[in-house]
Amino acid sequence: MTTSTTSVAVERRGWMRHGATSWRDYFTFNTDHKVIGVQYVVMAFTFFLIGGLMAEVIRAQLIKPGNTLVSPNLYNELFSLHGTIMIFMWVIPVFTGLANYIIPVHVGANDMAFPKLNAFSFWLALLGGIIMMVSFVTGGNASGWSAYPPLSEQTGIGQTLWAVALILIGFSSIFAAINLLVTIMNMRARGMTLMRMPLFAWSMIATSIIILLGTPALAGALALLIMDRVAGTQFFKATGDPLMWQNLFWFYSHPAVYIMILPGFGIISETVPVFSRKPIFGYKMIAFSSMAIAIFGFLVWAHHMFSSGMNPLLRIPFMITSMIIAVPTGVKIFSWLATLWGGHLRFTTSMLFTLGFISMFVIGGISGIFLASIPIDIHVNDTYFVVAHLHYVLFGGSVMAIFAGLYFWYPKITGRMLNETWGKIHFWMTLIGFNITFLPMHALGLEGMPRRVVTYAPEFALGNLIASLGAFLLAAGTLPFVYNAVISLVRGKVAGDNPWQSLTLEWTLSSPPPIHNFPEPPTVDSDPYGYGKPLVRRVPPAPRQEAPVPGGE
Amino acid sequence: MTYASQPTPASQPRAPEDPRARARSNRVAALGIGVLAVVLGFLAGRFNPLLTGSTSSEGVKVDALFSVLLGIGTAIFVVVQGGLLYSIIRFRQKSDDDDDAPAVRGNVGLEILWTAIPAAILTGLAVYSYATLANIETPAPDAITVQVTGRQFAWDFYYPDRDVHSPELHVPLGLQVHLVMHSDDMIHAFWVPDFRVKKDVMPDRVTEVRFTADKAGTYPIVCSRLCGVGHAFMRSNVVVQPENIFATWLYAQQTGATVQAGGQPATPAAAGKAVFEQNNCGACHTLKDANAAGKVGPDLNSIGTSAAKIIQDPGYKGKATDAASYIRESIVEPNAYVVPNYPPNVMPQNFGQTISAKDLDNLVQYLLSQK
Amino acid sequence: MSQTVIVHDEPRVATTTGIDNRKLGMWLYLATEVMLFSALIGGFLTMRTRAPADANHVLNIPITAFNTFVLIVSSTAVVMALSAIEDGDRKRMLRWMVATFVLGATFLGIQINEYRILIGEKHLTTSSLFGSGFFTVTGFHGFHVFVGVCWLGVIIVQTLRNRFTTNERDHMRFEIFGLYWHFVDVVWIVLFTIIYLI
Repeated sequence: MTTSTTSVAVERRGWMRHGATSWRDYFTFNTDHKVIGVQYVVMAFTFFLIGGLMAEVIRAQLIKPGNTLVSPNLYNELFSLHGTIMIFMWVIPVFTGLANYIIPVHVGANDMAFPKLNAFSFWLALLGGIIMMVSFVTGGNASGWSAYPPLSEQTGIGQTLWAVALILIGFSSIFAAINLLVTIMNMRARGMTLMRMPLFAWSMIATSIIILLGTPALAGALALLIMDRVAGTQFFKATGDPLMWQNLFWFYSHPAVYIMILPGFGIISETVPVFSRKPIFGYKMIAFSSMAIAIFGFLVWAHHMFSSGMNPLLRIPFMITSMIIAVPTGVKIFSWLATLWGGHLRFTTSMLFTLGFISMFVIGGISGIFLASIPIDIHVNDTYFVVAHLHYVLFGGSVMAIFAGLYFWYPKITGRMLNETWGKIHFWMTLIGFNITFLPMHALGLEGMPRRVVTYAPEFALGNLIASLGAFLLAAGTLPFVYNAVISLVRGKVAGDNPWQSLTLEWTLSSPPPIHNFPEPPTVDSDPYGYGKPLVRRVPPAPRQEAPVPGGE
Repeated sequence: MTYASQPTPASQPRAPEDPRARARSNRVAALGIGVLAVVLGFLAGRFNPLLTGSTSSEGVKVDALFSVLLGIGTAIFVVVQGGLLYSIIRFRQKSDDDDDAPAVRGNVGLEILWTAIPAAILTGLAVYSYATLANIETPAPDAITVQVTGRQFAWDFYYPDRDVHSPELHVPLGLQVHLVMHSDDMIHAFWVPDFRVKKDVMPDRVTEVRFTADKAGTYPIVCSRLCGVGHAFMRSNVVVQPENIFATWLYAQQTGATVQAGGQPATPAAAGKAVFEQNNCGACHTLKDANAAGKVGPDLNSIGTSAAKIIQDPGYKGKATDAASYIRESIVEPNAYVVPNYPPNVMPQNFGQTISAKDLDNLVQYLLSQK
Repeated sequence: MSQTVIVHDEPRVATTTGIDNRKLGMWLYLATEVMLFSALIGGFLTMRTRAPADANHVLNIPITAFNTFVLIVSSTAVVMALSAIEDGDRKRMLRWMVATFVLGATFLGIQINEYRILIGEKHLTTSSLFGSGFFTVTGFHGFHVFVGVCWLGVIIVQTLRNRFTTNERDHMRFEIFGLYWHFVDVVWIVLFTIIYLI
């Protein structure tokens, strides 16, 4: 796996390892952030395939009305676990993995602040994922990923296992967020003020704050649900307050969608300047908008409850905040457009996914504005309009950004280039398949098709047929990527240190980087977006000091 | 060590484009995209093909709000996609030019503009949405009240002043209807797509919703909150009738509940048919006599005769000894014996509690009569 | 005060903010815990408002007030232990650590006994509205105390084996334990007020 010219050996500390020189090292309890990053990404991608398979079964069932491919009970389990897996075992962990790998190098550190905690976070997430799969074969959580009680108190044992798995995954997420925050705040290279950090680091600060403050609300809700199911408490029963679940759940789960998009925003802010050969437009506003989204993201949750039994008056402030939160996101989109404008665009596969992200995410953002308007939301809540919206932002948005990042950093991580032809095939099949699948769903929802249904009225047949065919194309489009990723490990062109001519710190190291990253602590005197300017004058190295090592290790 | 000091590959000298002409054509393009956005946005809003034809007076206002949002959304869409497309075509890196692009790091005026204008538009949308909301939720003094009960997987509509239960919601044309709703078990949601009205139905509290139907006809009621395995089948209808016809219907329900057409007292079997309809059994079962075509559970077309055969079958696991008790067992204890090739745990397990003893007897008699 | 001897066994590493990594990490973790207890307290309050007004009359306020005092004293003991570390006084540090441990264990013991009385004699269970909230939120808190007591137990054992000393590194380790312990104490004061006194 390594084409590095360094010969630093993998270290052994008791039963732990640090660093990797062969594929076997990736199956160990390894404290090297680069190894952990790869572990996260591979685990997450596996769950992407599992969740995707579930989606294909769902679309096969829905290809015609009255289909009997799966029973109503199995169908309910399928879409519930599809949602849970895609959110908690794909999008969130894959971003955690990319951040794990890249952030320490971006800020000039030799590892994360707490390497052992980092390794523990990964294995905890994997354990949670395994328990999640076990829950599926014991009846699953057939109440939707949002698990509203009283229904989620009537489902089988799988629901309790699901809740336990989620708690473990939540803890993993919180520990990762603590690690990232301390690393970024405390271990930056000499000269790297906050305003000279890569924007990916800013996005991970915002993401980590959200994880830190939001995930406990979910943990609390799950704890109360488990108590109701196991200890006979009445929190969410008809004698208690089922709406309280919704409030606690959405207090986390709305910020969660920002957990799932902010790292993507960060990745796009890295790829756009590199492949436009221009500095990022409006660095400060992009950085601040990430923080604004993190804060505002906590103030909108009840827009998921507009047609619930919530206090009617309280809906209004939530409508206002839900509308306003579009502003910082709009700032980012316009800034990226302004970066592209007048650039010298290079259409690598990473850039194609970047452009696809901007194009598709804005559609999801626009449908989000519809959802923020209470009278319209009343009509489309819990319909396929919402399914369309969420997939445009999560697939057209997050997943495209993930692929942009994977194509961008694969050479750094493996030392090999991915094949561009297969990459373009992957991109076009994804873009086209994705739109065929999800565009009709806007109309289906508006016309009266609810979500989470095993079958539907005959008038929705054509839209569903089109969506199902698109889904099959979308699934097929993943295969070129898998093939490419595996084959390029051995047959890909050798990447060299900086195949993209990028200015962030990871590209100053070999591909893959040495086990301890920087031989000497780096010093910076500007942000990493100095494209189009003359080369920066070399600054003499700082007096010899140890590179920032993780505290207390 | 500083940031990557790899020089960009040496580029061939080429005749530079006139930067001013280039900037001018870019500005023209930007303006063009803007104009196109406004035009297409206006057209999309004006000719909204996506949400039209609501048959409630509230729904019409929601559709109008939707048109405005569609117009604005289309304009934003055109700006962004237009900007992307233009950039992809115009700013593609030329094959003989490896240089970086002219560095532009920001433009305060532009950044203020694209923060302030969206904020203003969104504020306007919030205000307009609020105005629409207030309009469609205003109580009318002459509203008629109907109590709605949702349960797995059927709707019940109760007219309190006439003591009338009905599985379908009949309402008078042009009068505001005030629904007072409660669930017996899970959270359900009452949704009439044609009216653009929806509200969750909760087991721990009463929720309310109002609408005024302004066109006669029959419109689907759809449960839109996952409530269990029968969620997709939990449907009913709103029947909108002119006031006098509605009044006639209501009177007929009130007086004729136990009377068949022609004035004969209803047989238990006929009463049982009403129970079958009220509990939406047809969502999952086929029964020609009740116009039911559900395919989730076994076909009931000749259950009266097949019941006796089933209990003789060596595979039968239940406790019934005759056809009537088998039918009863199948309703109140569905898992006692599930007909082969049909899934267990799909039929609700609590009909024994939700259907009264008398209704259950009548239902059994009705099914027994299906030979 | 005895003569202070600070032993540095590791070069102090500069962090960009000046705050030690582990301390910053613990503060961030406590922010998470604040949110968790907020959610659980919310759950308690929702149950409390639906339960009869006199539902908490089964609780023994005097004993629990004493227990609260025990926990507060244990926080003081932590501060004394920390001061001993700063002075380099291993014996004093150990004494105050053990005092904290005993006080923490006492708190748990009294709590468990209270549970026994409530369930066995007063017939308060998790099935009642008040019981739902009461047992859940005090149970989670008690679990946090238990974790803290175990953690302290490990530190004490390491001290006895001379693997935990008064050097800079272990000073920081004990400081972050102290942060956690004080947090658990503060949460209890809030819980005691909301559950018992109101």
